[in-house]
Amino acid sequence: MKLAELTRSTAFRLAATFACLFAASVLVLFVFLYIQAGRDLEARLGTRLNNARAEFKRVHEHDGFNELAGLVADDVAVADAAENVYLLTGIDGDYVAGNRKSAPQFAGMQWLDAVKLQELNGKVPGAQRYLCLWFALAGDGSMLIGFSDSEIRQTREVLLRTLLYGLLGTVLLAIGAGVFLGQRAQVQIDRVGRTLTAIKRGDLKARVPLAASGGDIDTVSRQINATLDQLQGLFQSLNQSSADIAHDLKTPIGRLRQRLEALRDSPGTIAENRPVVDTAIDEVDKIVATFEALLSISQLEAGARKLRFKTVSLQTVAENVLEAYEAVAEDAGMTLTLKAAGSRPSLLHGDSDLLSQLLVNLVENAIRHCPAGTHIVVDVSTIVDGPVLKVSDDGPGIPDDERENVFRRLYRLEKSRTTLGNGLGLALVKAIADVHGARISMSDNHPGVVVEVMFAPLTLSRDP
Amino acid sequence: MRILLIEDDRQTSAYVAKGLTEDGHVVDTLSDGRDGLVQATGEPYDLVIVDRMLPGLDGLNLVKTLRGAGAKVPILMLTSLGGVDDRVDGLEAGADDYLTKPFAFSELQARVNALGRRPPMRAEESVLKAGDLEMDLISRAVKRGMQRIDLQPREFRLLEVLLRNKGRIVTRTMLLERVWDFHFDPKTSVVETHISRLRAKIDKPFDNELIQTVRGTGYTINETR
Repeated sequence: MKLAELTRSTAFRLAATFACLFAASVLVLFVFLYIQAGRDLEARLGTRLNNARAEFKRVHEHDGFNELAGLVADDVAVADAAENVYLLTGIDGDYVAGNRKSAPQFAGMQWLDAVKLQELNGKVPGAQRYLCLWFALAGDGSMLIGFSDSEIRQTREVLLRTLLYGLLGTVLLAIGAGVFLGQRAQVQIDRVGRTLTAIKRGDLKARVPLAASGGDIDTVSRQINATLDQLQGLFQSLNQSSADIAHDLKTPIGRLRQRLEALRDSPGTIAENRPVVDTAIDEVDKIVATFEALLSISQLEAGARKLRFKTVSLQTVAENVLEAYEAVAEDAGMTLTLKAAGSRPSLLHGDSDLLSQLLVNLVENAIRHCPAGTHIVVDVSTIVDGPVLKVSDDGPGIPDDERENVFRRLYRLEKSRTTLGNGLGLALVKAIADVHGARISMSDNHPGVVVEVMFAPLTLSRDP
Repeated sequence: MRILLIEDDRQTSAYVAKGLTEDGHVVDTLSDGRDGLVQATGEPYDLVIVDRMLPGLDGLNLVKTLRGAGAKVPILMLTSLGGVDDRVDGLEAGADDYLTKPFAFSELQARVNALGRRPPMRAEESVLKAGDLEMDLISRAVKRGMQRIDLQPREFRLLEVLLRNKGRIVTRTMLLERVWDFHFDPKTSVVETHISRLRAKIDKPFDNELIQTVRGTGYTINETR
């Protein structure tokens, strides 16, 4: 994995963010500690200075100036000149004893740079500073004492070093964790990416492998796999229906071609050939009807028609369709009756044109597939769950195992392959039911078939 | 009739124009929506036939603009296959009728005639006649000569549509739309069944038949005798 990719990974970014936050809080803590420790050490240095002054003053008061000068000289002999400053001056301000030759005059405690304190042996002074204090010796001149800040500086150095190593460790640890987590997540994400690429290339069977740990990426992977399963199913059915469409259109187009060829080779006049031309036009109309039905189904599936939905009475739709088809059924030697239960108007939110077509398709289906003597009943009722439309017949029925396939596009029962129809009637019925949010089912009527369409009640269907 | 045909497919345009000219109409053809709108506003046409999909300005907006400008000319809209919403869209925009492509020329002919030569039939006209057949739309009584004929509601409506278009062909599709409000093509013979029942009542018992079948197209009632 490239660094650029890694730094873009979510886990890495998260780790980096935490590292920054942690480093910042460590920094704040250290700055506080640094300042506080510095102040504390300075205060302690001041106390030491005061104690030393008290000691020197006590010696001067007890033993006199000369004794003090001796003590200072002894101290200077053992003390490190770089650490401690001693300067005893006479009443005229001249050097009497100490490890510094001269120093500027001031009152109280003050920090002095090493250069301001002239050394006895003319050595180049170091970089340290001294906390110094002048005090007067009653009647005998004055004395300067000072302690270097080396202890404070050392402490600060230690603190700084600790801070630096601490920060470095924190950042390294965070980056390491980020890289580790990022890489682990990236591996999983790469797996998802590879799967999707495979799908894009046409391998519809590819699925995201699931890790044993079952993290959140796994949850997403599972969802992707479920979506892919569904897509694959849709794709297969689409493939199947494309093949079916091609097959179903090839037959009439082939017949059309034969008729046109026959017409070309026929010696007769146009008037004599009129029947051939008429059947050819019929073939074209059938092809157009198949296309029309296919396009209607796709448009219904797209769902734009919903925008036109109004409150429709299922009973009115049924009455209108029945008025048209009672006579048709009668001519086919069947009966078609409407059973509208109760006084309820069976209102629903829908499109009356489409609902008419749904019922017409169901009724025509029954008329076309049943023998004379069949009783077809259209039943409109309203139950608690909403309006229900039932179309039942007592005809020959259809086998159990074929029942769930009848709503598929271009599906035709094997035995009815040869009869009229393009196998789209019930698929259109299903598409219309779907766009209305209705549930459709086909079951055994003992004997015959009953198709049930259950709509949502008016109040619910308005806002699905 | 003076007809303006706005259609961008040259083959369809030429085919329709030729057929309508042979019928004795004067046809102007244009292929661009904007040109069509200008022409339709500027010239007095008896009928405008407009395709739904046009370059320049699409058919729907053309019709809307034309109607917005107060034009009362009858408009027939041609829509493409499978546009389930096209019919409603077209009628809402202000078209008087629609026809889905591909169509039989006879279907176009029938609709052009029904639209263009609207008889001076006023809404208040309440009695329709053909020969010795009389239909009272208010009392809903139908008589042939002196004989009263009982019709079912749909048979009554079927006869009314045929009589209102007396002398012109009414296609099967037009009947489905106007009698049953079916805007799709049924696979069974709904129209034929009802025509045959209507005939049994108003034609069979009498000497001459009023309802004529126009083969492959539809039906017509003529003022015969």
